Amino acid sequence: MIAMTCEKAMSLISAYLDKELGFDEYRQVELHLACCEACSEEYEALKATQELLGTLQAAELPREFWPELREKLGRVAAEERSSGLARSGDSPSSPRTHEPWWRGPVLAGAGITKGSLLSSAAVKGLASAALVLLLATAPMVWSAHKRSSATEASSQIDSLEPYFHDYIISEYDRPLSDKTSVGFVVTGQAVTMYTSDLLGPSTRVTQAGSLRDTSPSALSPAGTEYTLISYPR
Amino acid sequence: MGMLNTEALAGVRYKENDVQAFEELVRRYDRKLYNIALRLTGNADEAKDLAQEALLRAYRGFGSFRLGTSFEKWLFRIASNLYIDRLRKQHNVRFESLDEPVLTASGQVEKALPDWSSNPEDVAEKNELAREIQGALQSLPLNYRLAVILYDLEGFSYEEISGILHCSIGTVRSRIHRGRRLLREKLAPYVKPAASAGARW
Repeated sequence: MIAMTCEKAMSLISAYLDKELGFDEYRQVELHLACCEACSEEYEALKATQELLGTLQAAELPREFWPELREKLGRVAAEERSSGLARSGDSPSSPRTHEPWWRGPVLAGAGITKGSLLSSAAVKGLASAALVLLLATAPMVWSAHKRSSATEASSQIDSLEPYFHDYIISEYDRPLSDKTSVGFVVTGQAVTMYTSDLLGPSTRVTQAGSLRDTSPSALSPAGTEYTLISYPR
Repeated sequence: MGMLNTEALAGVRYKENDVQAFEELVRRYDRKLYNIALRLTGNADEAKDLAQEALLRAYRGFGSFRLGTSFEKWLFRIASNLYIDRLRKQHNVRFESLDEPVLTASGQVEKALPDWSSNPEDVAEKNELAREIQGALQSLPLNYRLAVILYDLEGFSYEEISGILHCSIGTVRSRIHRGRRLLREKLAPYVKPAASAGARW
């Protein structure tokens, strides 16, 4: 008896090959392959393809890789030092207060929400002129100084977005982290809370009464300081 | 995959000479990062540039890295995002379904995927087979290429790839499968006849 259709088995062959199936599916594919020649051939062909890929040799780093990169890193470090955004008072014991990527011109206009994690309608609605700041570990007061105009800020959105995503995703990578403590302030009025379940991230938006009152229209003026208080559970 | 000592990480950006500390931290990933970039771009210069830029971004964005998570994954995610961004900017790529045929004035046509990557022959491969394989990789749609490179060449698990590429495990599974099937077709002359096929009988 063929318990699994060829179509289904075919679609699972790579995962079977990689032993990335659950026990039941693995067993069913195994049974199917044992009595289906076509699928069995497919399996052998994919296995051979994989072996072929395995013959590619890893390349060595080019000799100039690090000398060049060191120079570039040095320039970035020098810029950071001279930009007046000195990291005074930081200490190794409080890494999250380290002046992070969103220092300076983070006041992002529309666009920062275009990432798929932020695609929920609720968030879109809130975030047309978004101040996005990350709230990290348990109660902690965060400040951000807006240092440049909105135009400058919007030019940074592109480079900023990947990090924004990285941050959210990396939160999910932590099995024991308190997801509800991860907040993103959107429009200065609400905290976007990301919660995780077995199926992946979902998004919830919560009003945050503990935030200093800032209406979206008040986000633009230069030199404004926003203080955020992490959202209490 | 290697989880770093978090204290070591925490220290990196607070030292007097943090560039040096950063270098010490990322040295253990540089070759892997470069190889991923090399297989993605198919061009040694482009790969070097991509890997360097990813590391620069990691340095600048270090504050957004969460201690206790995998630094390696974070780094490779930056690199793949960067590559996707570059392709988008260079070619104004629109992401659309690869499978649907296109309706033109002269009727329905199959979608022919342009290959925007560099000439695969740019990669200084020592032998013909390696060149062929690189060429075949190069011809894959980017999403498939990424998944196959991360699994078959760099040895990440499906779960890790889903973290790096920011998609579900089911998606990883199907991208790897489709990618491999395309590779099998392209590399047919090199795929040895399955000697054991049918031997299960």
